[in-house]
Amino acid sequence: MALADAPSAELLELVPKAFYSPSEVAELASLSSSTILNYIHEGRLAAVRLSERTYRIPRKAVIRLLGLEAPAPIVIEDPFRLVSF
Amino acid sequence: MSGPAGFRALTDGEIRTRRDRLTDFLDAWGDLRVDDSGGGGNRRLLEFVLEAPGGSLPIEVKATYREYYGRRRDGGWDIAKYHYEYLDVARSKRFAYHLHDVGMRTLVAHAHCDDATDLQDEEGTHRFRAVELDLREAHEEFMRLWASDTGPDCRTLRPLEIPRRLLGANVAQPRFG
Repeated sequence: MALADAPSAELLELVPKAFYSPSEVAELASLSSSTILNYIHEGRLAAVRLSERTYRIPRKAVIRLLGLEAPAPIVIEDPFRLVSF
Repeated sequence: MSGPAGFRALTDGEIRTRRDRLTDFLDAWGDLRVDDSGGGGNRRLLEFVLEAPGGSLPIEVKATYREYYGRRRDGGWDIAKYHYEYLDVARSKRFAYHLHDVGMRTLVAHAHCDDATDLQDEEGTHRFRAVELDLREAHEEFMRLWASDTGPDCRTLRPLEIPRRLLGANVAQPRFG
């Protein structure tokens, strides 16, 4: 789903905030708002639903959608570490 | 060891799949560190630490999800308890969903809510009523709190009341965590 050649990297840096509205993401990604809402409803784009028609999309999900570089998760597996509880 | 209602035993492969799917799910929200420990023994911890919004922006919230599993005789894993924690750094608020033993009662689902800005809250960490949740449900609730204007409101919660006879003799209600 990454949008190669998206001209939005600079714009995203100019608007550094935690959440974006679907219309803001649509503008950044040069897509329609309905496409962004479809992505949300299909589970392809992370979002939090604040009310029936209000969604907020986290910054990192926007970065991924635009195909920009984002830190990868760090996964540590230690099967022999002693776990107590 | 048997799992609580709503949770079924997981095989090694299923627990690895769960870890990987949750990693993908949570990664969209910020900087994520995942720790899977003890899989070679009888007690296992899956821990997800999320700092959001991540990247170059200051941390506004920190969510920590810990699931503790015990090995079954058939080799599978039962969840033994969980701690799903949300810390709103910017607004000095904490909200949490826990499932663990409380006094003599086993595996009690409950919530914690601390409002550092509420000066009337002199008792510190209280327990509140809650239902068993999956990690995704807790995360969605936490993210909704973050995105809302006010964050968690501890005053809307109902206290968890457990009969004194079911609490340990040396444990006073409701001061423990």
